[in-house]
Parts: sequence; C-alpha cells; structure tokens
Amino acid sequence: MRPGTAIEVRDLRKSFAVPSSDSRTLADRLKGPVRRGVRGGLPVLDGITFDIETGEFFGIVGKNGSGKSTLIRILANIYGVDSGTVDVRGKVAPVVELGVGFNTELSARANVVLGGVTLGLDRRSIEGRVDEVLEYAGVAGFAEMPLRNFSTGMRTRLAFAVSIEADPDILLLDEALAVGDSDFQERCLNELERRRDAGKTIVLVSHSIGKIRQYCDRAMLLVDGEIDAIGDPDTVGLAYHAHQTNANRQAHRAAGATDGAEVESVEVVGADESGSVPQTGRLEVEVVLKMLAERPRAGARVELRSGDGTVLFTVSDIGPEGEALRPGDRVRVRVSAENPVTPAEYQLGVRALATGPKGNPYTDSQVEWTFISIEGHGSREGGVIEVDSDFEFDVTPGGAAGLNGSSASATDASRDREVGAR
Amino acid sequence: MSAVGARPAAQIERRLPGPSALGEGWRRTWEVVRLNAVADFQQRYAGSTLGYLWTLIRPITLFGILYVVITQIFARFTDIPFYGSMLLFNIMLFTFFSEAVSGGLRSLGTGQLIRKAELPVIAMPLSTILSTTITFGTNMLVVVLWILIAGVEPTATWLLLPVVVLLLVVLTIGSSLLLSALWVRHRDVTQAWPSISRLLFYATPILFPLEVVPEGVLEDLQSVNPLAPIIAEARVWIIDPSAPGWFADRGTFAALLPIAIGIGICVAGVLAFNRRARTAGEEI
Repeated sequence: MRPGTAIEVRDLRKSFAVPSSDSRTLADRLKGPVRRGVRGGLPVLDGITFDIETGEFFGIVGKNGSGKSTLIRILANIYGVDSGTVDVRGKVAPVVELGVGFNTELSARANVVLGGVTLGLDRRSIEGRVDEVLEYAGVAGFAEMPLRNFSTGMRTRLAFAVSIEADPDILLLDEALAVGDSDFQERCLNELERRRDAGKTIVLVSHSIGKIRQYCDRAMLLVDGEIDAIGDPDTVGLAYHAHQTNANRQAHRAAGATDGAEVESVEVVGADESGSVPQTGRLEVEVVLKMLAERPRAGARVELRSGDGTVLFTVSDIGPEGEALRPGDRVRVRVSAENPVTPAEYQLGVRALATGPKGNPYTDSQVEWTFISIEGHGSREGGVIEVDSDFEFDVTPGGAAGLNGSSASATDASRDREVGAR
Repeated sequence: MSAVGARPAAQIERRLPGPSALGEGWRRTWEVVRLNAVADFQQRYAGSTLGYLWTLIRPITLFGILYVVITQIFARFTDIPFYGSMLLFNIMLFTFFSEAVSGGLRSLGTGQLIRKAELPVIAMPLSTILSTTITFGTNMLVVVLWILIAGVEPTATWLLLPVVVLLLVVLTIGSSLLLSALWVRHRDVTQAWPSISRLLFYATPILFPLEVVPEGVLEDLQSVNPLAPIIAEARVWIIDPSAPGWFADRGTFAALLPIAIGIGICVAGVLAFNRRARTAGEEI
C-alpha cells in the first residue's frame, strides 16, 4: 500500500446472484435440473477504484441501490469481492447498524461485552472497560438491568458507546446514525470528528448531503455501482443533487426527447466567492441560457431548497414572444424573488425552459445546482421562513378586581388581535 | 472511554480475504462461540418460570409415554435388563442430537448477524450447538443419578461416557454444517428436519434394542444410520455390559458402514460449509 492511505480499492467488482425465477417451484424443479442463481447476474459495483487517506473523514453518498451499502460491507470484509482488491491498514470496525450482537434478555453489562466482541474487540480488553462504556453511555446506574427494559434512546447511546469503544483505526458507518434524535446524531458526529482529529479514519455512508458537507473532508458519489464524482464534498453534494433531480429528465432524454435550451451560467447577484449573500429583502439571480434548438420562446425556473432537500419555493416564467430563437443564441434572464428564508445554507436550482417547436407545451432542461448561504441575523429560533412579526403584551391582574377591571395597558387593537387568534 | 491520543503506528496492512468459515482464526472463533453460547443459554429460558427444567421435562415426558405404552400396553421387553434406564438414556442422547441439529441448521439466519458484522461464519452453528451441549451435560447428570437409583451397577466403562458425548457432538456438528450450508439456498431443510429426525428416531436402537430388531427394513435403516453404533455401544458401556454391542451384532465389516457414512457426513459438512460461508452473508 501507498504510505498514508487507510483503504485502497482497485477495480472492485461485485455482483449478486439472481435466482432464476423460472425454476422456483417444485414442479419446475422436477422438470429439469435445479438451476442455481447465476453469479454475475446483477452487477452492484462495476469496477471502482479509489483511495481513502489515513485520518480522513470520508463520505459516501448515493441513492438506494447505488451500491454504497454493499461497498461498506466489502470494506468491512462481510462480503467478498468478485474481482479486484481491497487493502486496508489498521483495525476496521463496521457499524452497519447500532447494537449488532445485542441480546435484549441480557444485562447491559453482558451486552457491552457481547456487542464489543461481535464488532471485533478482544474479550479481555472490553471486559476491563465495561464500566467506562456504561458511564459514557450514561447508563452506569442500570448495568445489571436487562436490555429489554431500556428505552430506545438508552439502547442507542449504549450501542454507540460500544462502537466507539472498539476504537478502530478505520470506522465504517452505514447510516447507523440515522436512528436517534438529532441531538444524539450531532453528539455522535462530533465524537467522530474528535477521532478523526486524533488520526483515525472515518467512512460515513449517508443520504444527507448536509451532514456530508458539514463533516467530511472528501466525499464520493456512487451511481449505479460506479463512481460518478469524488473529491470536494460540496462538488459531490451538487452532483448528487443533480442526479436526484435529473433522473426523470435523463429518462426523457433516453427516450429521445431533446432540450431546447440549457443553463450556461448562474450568478447570484451580490454573492461573494464563497456563495454567501446578505439577507436582504430580495434574492436576485442572473441566468444565462444557451439555445440548443430553434424555439419560439425560452424561460427559466428557479427553486430554492433547504439543506434536507425540502423545496421552499419554485418560481418560473417564460420570455415574451418575438423572433424565433436560434441554436447558439444566448438569453439573459434576471430573476428577482422575495427572500423569505432565515440565514442558513440553501441549494439553488435553475432550469432552462423552452417552448416546443409549435408553441406549448414547453420542455425543461436539467437543473443546475449551486449552494447559497444566506447571511444575516434574523430570528434564529428555528424554521426556514422569516416572517415579519409583532408581539404585544397584555397583563390581567389576578383576583376579583381583575375580572371586571380593565386591563392595565392594552390597546383596543391588540385586544382584538388576541381574540382573533383564539 | 479509551484514550483518543496517540498510539503506536503498528497498523497491520492486509488485503481483505472476504468472509470465511473461520474468519481470523480459531482464537476469535472460540471467543465468539463461547460468548454467544452463554448468551443463548441465558436467554433461552429468560422469563419462563421452570426455565432450564423444561429441557428435562420434554425428554422425560417422551420417555414416560413410550415406557408405559411398551411395557404395559404391549407388555414387551419386560425381560430386558434395565429397559427403562436404557430407554431414558437413549432418549436423552437422541433428543440432544435432534435439537442441536435443529438449532444448528438454521443458525446462519440468527439476527442476520453474519451480514452485519465480520464474524467467523462457523461460530453461528457452533454456538447454538455448544449451548445445547451445556444443557445436555447437566441433563446427563440427572440421567446418571436416575440410572444409579434404578440399580444399574457402575462399571469402569462409565468412564467412556465422555467418548459417547464426544462422538455424538462430532456427528451433530457435521450434520449441522451440512444442513446449514444447504439451508442458505434451500429453506426446505427447516421443514424436512422434523420428519428426518422422526425417521432417525426409529432407525436407531432407542426403543428397540439390537437383539429384538427383526431382519427387514428397520434393520436395514439401522445399518446405514451413523447414530446406531454410538447408541448401541453406549448401552453396553453404561447400562448393560452383557448386551450385544454394535460390532458383535453386525460383524466387523457391516458394522463399519454407518461409521463410514458418519465420517462422510462430517467431511461433506465441512466442505459444503466452508464453500457456502464465503457468500452466506449476502444470500441469507
């Protein structure tokens, strides 16, 4: 292995046997020899090559079925490979799921040992540290209680404590942290960051681009068992996003549909080089469209999504009719939209629209994604929408006098509003 | 928690070999087997009042029924010395085999463990077999006590009891490995085992000692059943030194046939399991 790498994967191929569906019943089997599933049936990983450096927080993203769970199981030596090689340096602990090996009938103490040994720890070394693990999980007072009496939260904390206790050189996490509340997840990720800072290698499989961007040093996007993008988590995140949102579009294109126009560039007006814009009244975007075919009209659609992918708003318009647009023509579109969001990171998606050769209906192009960061100091108490609000206070003194007496400082207007709110 | 500090850079490089029956070796396999067996043993009777006693009650009930039916309703075998002790002893041996294989053959599915952690795959059947063996060992103490009370004279050959248990455990492991390897792709094994086990029960000299089995299908079945020689010899060693042993009854050459079959099952089991262990995780 090259010095400095924790994992080296070379031309890794893996496929799963697909049971041939025509010989499943007994009657079918009696008619002919038993047909086994054919190895090489369903390719899951199609010749991938990459390195993970020692001390790196590495993210793997991809849709369901992209091969990421299979990959992490291969890295953990749970599945074998069809061809290619995987080299690792140091002790690997896979956390495919939290609490693997736990037995709910046994005490927390017994489960720490059981879970630790299942993860690859030496029994003696974990037996000596059971109390510390229980302490870390915050369940030290329940060491002898059967695990079935634990709350889900306690169980999850214990399971994570055991995984961390394994203190491997390489920790593989397969969405295991998708369980538990967000506070717990954050604590876990922060702990993982500390391990990374201490020189350990962390590999995290996640659906959440937000987490990948926040914690990972590098990331990789898997699409249909191939590496689609690898490197900077922001770039990989955008590629992942583009893939998710353009899947339909690609299906159309495969069916022979052509785009009338494409997005050539997107510029957020007033943004600095890191993509940050101040939180002002309006969000302004300048889009340049390039015509790919002769079309009567072209336009743009802009959407804003929160970090978890929720669409916050979509606005679109199509330009006025004029002389037909020809291939190679550029159309500059300036979009100005009300900006109702709280300061945070968002994803801005832009599509090119073009009416069909004979007018409507129009087709849209692939989405171009950029991250934007809204800077400001709005009401950061949660939520994504910044709303204009007023508070008025109306104190009614207690006691009999208060019942008929008029309130101390209320205006008629505010009382009306109060009633209305009920 | 363990220190997040510096640690010696003695990190081993290795090319991942893929999963296998023994994984990283015997030491880890044994550790996993032992821990899981103990956990299995502890949880099996958690929440039941009589707990462990059930493993005694089941064979003793079977024994009681068969004993009453045969010696009182059919009025047979009353002239066979220590027939009751022999029957109980045989049933205990057989029940162990049947239950251990039944647990072992489906053990690869337990909690989907082998697709979630890097485990020596063979630890799955071995740990359920070990936990059944722990129960069996304690049951044998009860049986020995019973036999003594029934008036069987202890002899020097009682020292061979561990050999009987060992042979039985080896055959149990061989059968479990073979059947669990088959189970990965053919779940029918689970359904088939109760019938196979019932057939084996009668094809083993449990109810009908060697000397009373007439020529015919039952004797033929015994001649190819690897359990038969173990049970027959165990009777001579433990219960009744004057009873006919397997070799004496069959003649050396014919006597070797079921032993060869037993060895064949064990070898086939190891080979089949070793092969299937490489992909069992993804196929279950």
